Amino acid sequence: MSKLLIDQVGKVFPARGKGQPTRALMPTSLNVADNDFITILGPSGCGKSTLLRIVGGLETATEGKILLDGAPVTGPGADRGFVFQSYTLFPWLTVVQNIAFGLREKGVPERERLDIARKWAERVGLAGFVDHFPKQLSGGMQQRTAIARALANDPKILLLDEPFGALDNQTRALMQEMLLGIWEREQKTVLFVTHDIEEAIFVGSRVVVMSARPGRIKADIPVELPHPRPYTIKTSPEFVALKERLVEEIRVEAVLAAEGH
Amino acid sequence: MKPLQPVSAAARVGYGVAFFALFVAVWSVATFGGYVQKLFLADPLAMVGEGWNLLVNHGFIVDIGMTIWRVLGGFVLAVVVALPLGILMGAYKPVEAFLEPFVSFARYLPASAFIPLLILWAGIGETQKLLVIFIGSFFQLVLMIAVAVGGIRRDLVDAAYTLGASDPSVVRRVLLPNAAPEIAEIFRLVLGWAWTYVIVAELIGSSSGIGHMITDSQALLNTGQIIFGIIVIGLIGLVSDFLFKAVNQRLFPWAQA
Repeated sequence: MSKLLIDQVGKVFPARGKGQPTRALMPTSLNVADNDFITILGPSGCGKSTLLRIVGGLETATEGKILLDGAPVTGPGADRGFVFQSYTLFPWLTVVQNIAFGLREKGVPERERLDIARKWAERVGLAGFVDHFPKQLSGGMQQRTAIARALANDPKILLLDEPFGALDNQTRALMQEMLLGIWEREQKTVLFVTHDIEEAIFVGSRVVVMSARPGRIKADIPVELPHPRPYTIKTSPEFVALKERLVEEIRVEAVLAAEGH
Repeated sequence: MKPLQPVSAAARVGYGVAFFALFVAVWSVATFGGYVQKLFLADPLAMVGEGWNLLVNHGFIVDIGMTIWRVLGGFVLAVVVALPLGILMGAYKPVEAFLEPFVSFARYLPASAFIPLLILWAGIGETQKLLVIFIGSFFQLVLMIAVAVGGIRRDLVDAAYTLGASDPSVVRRVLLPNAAPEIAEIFRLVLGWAWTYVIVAELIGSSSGIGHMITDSQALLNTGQIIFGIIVIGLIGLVSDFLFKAVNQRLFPWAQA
């Protein structure tokens, strides 16, 4: 049975003023198996973030349904952890308090939730920064905290919306390794949206390619690279071959998007 | 001078003090130099002498105390009502749609113009003074607090929901702490405005307070006393501003630049 079932989910944004309604997402279906790491790859504006936000319950679908463990998704909830591209740590809370935010909402006693939060801070490499405020952290550190905050809630699925999009290349590569390491150890179901081809292959076990707006799935490609994956795998022939194939797929869509289709 | 180039802390204090010195110097030249008649403007020394006289012989300290108590009393009353209302307006759009138009209108009603009415309704006692401050601060507070609470980044609210926050906890654990430093800043600002209302309230139908002393001195053409009263108000404002800033920095270290 699938963990997450996306069944003919589509999105049309209503017309503004005299304009026509815009279709952001064609009816799309996707089956996500337990502990799958799926990356959704597409040019900007292709509706991949919209799809992820619908799964997260932050936007409503115009049609179709989403089932998580058989139960329909109706709004945002603690069973789906979400990491945003923008920095969304609560500025008035320290790193450990941020990570413990969801646990406090669940009513976990203070001692226990701070213990769990500290453990997660350690796992994302922020053991020395637990009492820092977000403004004292670099962008990479903030996103690591955001990932720890989502995971500390022990969600059924982790949704990431271009989480490393605002980071420089070196930091981004380190973050990918860290996320992959966590996934290899903890086993989680992950949906990861990105427009970076290399990133999509490196962290994913399946790459779903989306077309230019209105978005639909145009390819679903398994990544048959072994785990654990060291960063050196990015230069292996298998990796490069897959990358070439995806570059071709994406290029067609990017050209379409640029032409305004 | 280069645009936006910062100055050192010491230089900043120096510049600030220098202007006060310049101000007193110009005042001294104008008065001691005989360019302005004593009747219209007392010189700095006369002002200090009159101040001393007021404090020692006329119990001016009691007037100062009365004025401070009126400002704080009226202001605290306004805060007690405005804070929950402003939070509700900021957080819940129907409440905002219901109240915002009226409050926007009411905030332009001049508090001082209510004084005759308030005297009619509440007499010339303390209630009337507190009401003037209340009317002057309340509507400003409500609107500004509502804007502060509602002006949160949408993605912070989204993040809270995806972490399992309920609607009440989004208000309590996200909207409120997010707006807290700005609300504290609003308090500092509006308290400053409350000071101008209290003096007006005391100018009419009052038997104590700094404003009352100023009206009395006007009858005696004692400009030294008037200026001393005005300077005392300025000093109290300066001190309260300073205290507010210090407390805010203590309370909200995460919001400091």
